[in-house]
Amino acid sequence: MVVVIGGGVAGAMAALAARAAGAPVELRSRAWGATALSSGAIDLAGDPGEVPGDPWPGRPSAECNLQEMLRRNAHHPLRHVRDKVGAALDLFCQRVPLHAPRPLAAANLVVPTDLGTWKSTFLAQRTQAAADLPALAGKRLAVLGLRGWGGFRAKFLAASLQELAQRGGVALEIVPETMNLPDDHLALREPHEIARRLDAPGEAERLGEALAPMLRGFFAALLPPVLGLVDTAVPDRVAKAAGVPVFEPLASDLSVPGLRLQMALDRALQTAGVTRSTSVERPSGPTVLATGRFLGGGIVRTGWELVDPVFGLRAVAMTHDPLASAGLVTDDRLHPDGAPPHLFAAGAVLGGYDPIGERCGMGTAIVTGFAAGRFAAEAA
Amino acid sequence: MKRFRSLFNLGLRMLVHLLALPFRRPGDGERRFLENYAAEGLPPLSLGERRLLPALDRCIACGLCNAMCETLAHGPRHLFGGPFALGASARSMPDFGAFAAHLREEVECADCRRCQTVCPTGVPLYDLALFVRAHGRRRD
Repeated sequence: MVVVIGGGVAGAMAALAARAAGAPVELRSRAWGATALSSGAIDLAGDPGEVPGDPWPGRPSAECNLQEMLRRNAHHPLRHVRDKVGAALDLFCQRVPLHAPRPLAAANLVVPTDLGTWKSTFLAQRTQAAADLPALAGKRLAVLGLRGWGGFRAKFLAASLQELAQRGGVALEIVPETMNLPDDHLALREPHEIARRLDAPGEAERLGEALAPMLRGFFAALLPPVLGLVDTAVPDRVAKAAGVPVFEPLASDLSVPGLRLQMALDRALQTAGVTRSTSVERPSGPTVLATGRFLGGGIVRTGWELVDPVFGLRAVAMTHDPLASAGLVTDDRLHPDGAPPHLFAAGAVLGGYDPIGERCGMGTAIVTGFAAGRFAAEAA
Repeated sequence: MKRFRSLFNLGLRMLVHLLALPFRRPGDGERRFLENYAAEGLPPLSLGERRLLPALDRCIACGLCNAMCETLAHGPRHLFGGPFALGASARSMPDFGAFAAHLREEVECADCRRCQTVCPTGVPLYDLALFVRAHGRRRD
């Protein structure tokens, strides 16, 4: 029996990998963590040499970024499990049907965010990856706001993206459009409420039909990131009725794509036959610790020390940015220093990397989670 | 002169107090004290209840509670702000009214407890909602 502690993407990947290796798995989680708040992007490695004004075409491959990131950061946990990157991402894309797999030889995507900026990332949910701006060169894109809903400012977004595309050296026409929501939607204020509404039968089609006349002559439309919460077919349903593909940007706060990912992970775990519990007992057998960093509660402060609250392991700050990279130090098999045998750590509880600064957060969680799950299954 | 007047008043109150003392029942003062506070929306609380409110300080405003709220999924959104609204309405007891009135009269909590189980920082939102509902009084 393998016990996985942590309900985010690292824990889920550990549970799925251990299960795929044939071990019975119990996943213990207290609540949702940072994964449920993520934007939908799966970072693997950013380009350390990237400068904001650089042209978008001709950027280095993800493989290249990864190599450069690991060369620069001697403490990065991906160094231990470098050989498992491909297999981990394959399993992730296979079990979570939200992201289309991409080869490591491809350059990072350049996708718009709902704040009017762009972000380079390795994987994004299908509707977001389709909005890869360099791939839309020469196309005419509509940015659609919903009248009366302040969560998504089409006019501002279109102007901002147009300027950024110009600086990125990609000719692309971006036009803001605004549509009225049907009356009963107006009382809804938060993005997930609209997303949940679109899950219902007929609603996505209704939205698509309302969009169809506005979208004549456009290649595609960028909608707010609200295209369905549970039903992954919502974007296709809208697109079919509208007659053009619909895209989503990465989401900032109250992120529907993040919720969508968390719920898809929960479903994948259920399908794989992983048992769930909320037990807080310290397990004695093979265990994966995937409790996250500060947001997930995997690293807490006691006095002047940062520790992991489950096993009392000390977190160490390894790079020049102590807080951004504080976490557990492990050997090559992700076994933390000073931990009981058969304990493996994965995800943000690991130290030595800065998930945001190095733009590798979710990818590191997926790969180390996968590897820790494998190691724990071998130990079981 | 001012000083003399205040000392005189103080002495007078002391005299009245001493004369009234044999006619008072024990505990009466405390009862009247608490009644006055209860009228202001500040009833006495148990230790457990007092520990509930500071738990709200852990809220990081991520919005997951509202996203998963069963009541909000089916209920009238303009009447009920969801568990997230506790952050605004459960800061001080006299202000419990608005939240409590909605949860009691306009919508029924579905008791799914998901707000509490998804909260990344472990705020006992369901317990808090019940507490606010029990103590909130309408202030018309």
